Amino acid sequence: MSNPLEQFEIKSLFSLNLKGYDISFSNSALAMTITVAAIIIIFAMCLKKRTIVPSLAQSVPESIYEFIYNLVKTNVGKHGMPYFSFIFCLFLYIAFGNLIGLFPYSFTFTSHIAAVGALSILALCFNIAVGIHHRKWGYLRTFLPKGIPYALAPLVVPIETISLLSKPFSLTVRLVANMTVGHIMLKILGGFVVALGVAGIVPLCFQALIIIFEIFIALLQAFIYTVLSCIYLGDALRSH
Amino acid sequence: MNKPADIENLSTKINAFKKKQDKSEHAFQTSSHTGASKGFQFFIEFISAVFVSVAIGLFLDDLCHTAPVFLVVFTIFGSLAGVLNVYRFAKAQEKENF
Repeated sequence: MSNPLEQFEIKSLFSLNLKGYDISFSNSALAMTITVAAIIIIFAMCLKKRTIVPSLAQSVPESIYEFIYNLVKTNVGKHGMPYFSFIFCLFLYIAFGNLIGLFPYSFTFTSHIAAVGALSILALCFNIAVGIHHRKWGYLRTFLPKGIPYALAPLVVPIETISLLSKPFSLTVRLVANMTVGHIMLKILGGFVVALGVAGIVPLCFQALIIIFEIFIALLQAFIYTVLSCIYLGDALRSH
Repeated sequence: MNKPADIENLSTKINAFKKKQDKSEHAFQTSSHTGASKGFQFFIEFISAVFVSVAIGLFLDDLCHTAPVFLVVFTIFGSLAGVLNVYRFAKAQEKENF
């Protein structure tokens, strides 16, 4: 049986070097490119013929749009609507990344802490920028919530700062752990199918069920990541 | 003015569909927080604060050559921040359930 962790290895496809820095185009970068291309192509094809009464193809992107729109409205509020497009892109990118990773011989970039971590840090920076833009100096209230005496500031400010900085980490670990575990399980079961010969039909059936479950998990994790991003954005727009 | 019967019929149909959609959306949201996943999320909320603070402590110790002062201080802060994270997460869960 081959190593179940082999699927997460980053391989360089084209070697590129910029002033001593290795910026090679890897299989992870290819998966990200395919994800973005897939989103654009699917949406462009589905929305090719726009009608007031939507066709089946048109209703798919429209229902995704409406679903995320309601999510932002519930969790962030009406003043969060200008940032809807960011949340929408985040959801699509993660959902498509998770789903494309389920295809044989493809690569799941959402199982890499570096890729998801960078996205989460970007989301945190975005939230901080939005918070400062909306509340100006009032944003500093995040670190010392109202009603807390100033004498406690040396204790509360570092705790609140760490709490804020831990958000992208918890977002990342949650998504990465779920994706990694699912793919390892699929690979191990796949190994059993080959190793057991005719009796391999049993793990194959089991694997078929796991695949369905993994599709559900892929969408669910994208949903959870989006909901939490909305909550954090909402926190940035108003104090605790 | 009385509404024509077919329009009224359509509005009841729309309302029924909306109710059905709300129900399915609620079911999807509650199913995302089963026992095991909830436990895992609490664990992540706590551990992430500790991990981040330990990293900050190690970095500051390395920068100021004061090992292990910052590591100890930030581990304590991290644990407290972890408890705060878990408390906030639990409060959010409570709001969602009731």
